[in-house]
Amino acid sequence: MTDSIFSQYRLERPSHESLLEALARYVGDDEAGDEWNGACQRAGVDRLLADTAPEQLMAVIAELEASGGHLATCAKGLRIRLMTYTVLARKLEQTPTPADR
Amino acid sequence: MFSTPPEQHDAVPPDIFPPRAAAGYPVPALTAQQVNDALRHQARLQEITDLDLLNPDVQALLQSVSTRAAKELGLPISVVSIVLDEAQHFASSYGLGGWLEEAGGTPVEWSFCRFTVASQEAFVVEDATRHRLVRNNPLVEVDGVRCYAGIPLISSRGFALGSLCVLGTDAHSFREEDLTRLRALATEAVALIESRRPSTKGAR
Repeated sequence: MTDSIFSQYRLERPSHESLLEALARYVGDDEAGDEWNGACQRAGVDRLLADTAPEQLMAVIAELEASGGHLATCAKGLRIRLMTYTVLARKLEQTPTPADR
Repeated sequence: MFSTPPEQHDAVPPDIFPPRAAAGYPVPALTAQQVNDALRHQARLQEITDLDLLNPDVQALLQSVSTRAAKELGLPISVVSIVLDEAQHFASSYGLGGWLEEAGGTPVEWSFCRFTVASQEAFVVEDATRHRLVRNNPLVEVDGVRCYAGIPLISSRGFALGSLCVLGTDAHSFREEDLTRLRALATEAVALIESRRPSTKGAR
């Protein structure tokens, strides 16, 4: 499925590293790590396992959004990227491949 | 995708020439780096935060504007898009469906509106399959967007926050009167957005 999304939309699955990089543009590298770890803790997500399931990443993003201010603005962009990936993955999964026909 | 930022804007040539599209509408004379810098400008993003434009209640405020934009210009889709550094957020829309409606926006590298915001000028695409800036965009190649006209939403403090735009799935010629009408609706949208400024809210 990742291959399908990448071949059609050239969109890679967001990872916690990519989200951290975006967050660092708002608050700097050090604070980004602190904010991310705090959001993981509040969401009950192991930061090392946050890449394993989109819903875990989304839970962390929701915590950042709840922080308000510029963290919420940053988190909204991340939410849309992850939502786009998730929705397209589902859409492409439901599209029959030539082998299914 | 985030870990490899240069890939985000591969569809944007490093220098954008010639300055005019074949159909006669100006093409933003911006480099990919200038587009990125404009979108990531911290004061611009702070303005979006201060005006609380990502709040779901903005949809009700701007719905009438997006509905009228599509109907008055005779195109199937209209969007008020708030352009962030990583994504565009559809604050209100008319005629959107499918995954675009569900996602509520797109990654910023697919956003036509990013050119509108970065240039602070109207951006018009009459046939996306032939337009240098967007012909390789997945929204064109996969989802079939063919035409676009966007007017920047510029706050009273001079920041381009997003765009009021119309879209269609057929090539389309935009007349000057279309853009005049779209500009008037964009002015209306900015007035509604400005009503959210904290000092204005407090005065009511």
